[in-house]
Amino acid sequence: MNTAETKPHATTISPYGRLVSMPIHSENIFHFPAGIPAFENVKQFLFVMRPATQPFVFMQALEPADLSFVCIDPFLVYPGYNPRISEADASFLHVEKPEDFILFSIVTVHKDARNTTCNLQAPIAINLQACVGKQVICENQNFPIRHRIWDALSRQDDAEPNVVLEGAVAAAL
Amino acid sequence: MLILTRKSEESVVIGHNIEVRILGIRGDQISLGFSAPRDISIYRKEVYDAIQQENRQAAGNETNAVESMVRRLGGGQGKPDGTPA
Repeated sequence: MNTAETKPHATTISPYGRLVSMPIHSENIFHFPAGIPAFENVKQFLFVMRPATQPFVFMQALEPADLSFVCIDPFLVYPGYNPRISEADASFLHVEKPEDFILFSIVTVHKDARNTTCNLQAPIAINLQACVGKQVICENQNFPIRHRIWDALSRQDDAEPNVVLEGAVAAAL
Repeated sequence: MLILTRKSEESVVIGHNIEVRILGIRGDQISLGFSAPRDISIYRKEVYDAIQQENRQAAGNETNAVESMVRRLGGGQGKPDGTPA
């Protein structure tokens, strides 16, 4: 229920590249009408952020509950990232203006953390207003499916404080 | 699998609102044109397959691995330079 008492926390993501205020709380279920490739039947996800795992974000399926993806703000690890969202995808997501949606990149965690990669060719786009999401495929741009992120994240240790996350929603689980 | 033979400039219709037209044939390459509702996405199959494969590999419950990675990066609740918080 979206009553005044359960007002969403404002979650701020990524001081690098851009600043997004994301209203997310335990009842923020995002609908993925097409699922995501290989998991086409999984239609609902929560985005969970924990202080101990920032700047990573967990994209957690409602069903099956043990299905979860690690995500990261792609702009954090790939400066100049500028994927084009097709008209078909914008229409699917009911996006009318760029501020309506944000992007996450799915992370493939490797045993050797230095080889951990994220998928820049197919970011997760979510419409914050409509709570709709889709993994969009930027087919004609040469963004890698496996972009190593360790070096970019290491470099940021010397920069300003890491991503600011307020109102973490660990309680969602 | 349904098999139809088409010539250049001929089409097939899928359902009532998707049309696939043979635009041209050059050697072993065929140009296809698609007319479909705005919210239908059309991909090259090998690209979709590659995304599927990467998603399967990324799926899991990696909370512990991520926590340990964040600690090594000096993020989370530790200090940026790796010294104990």
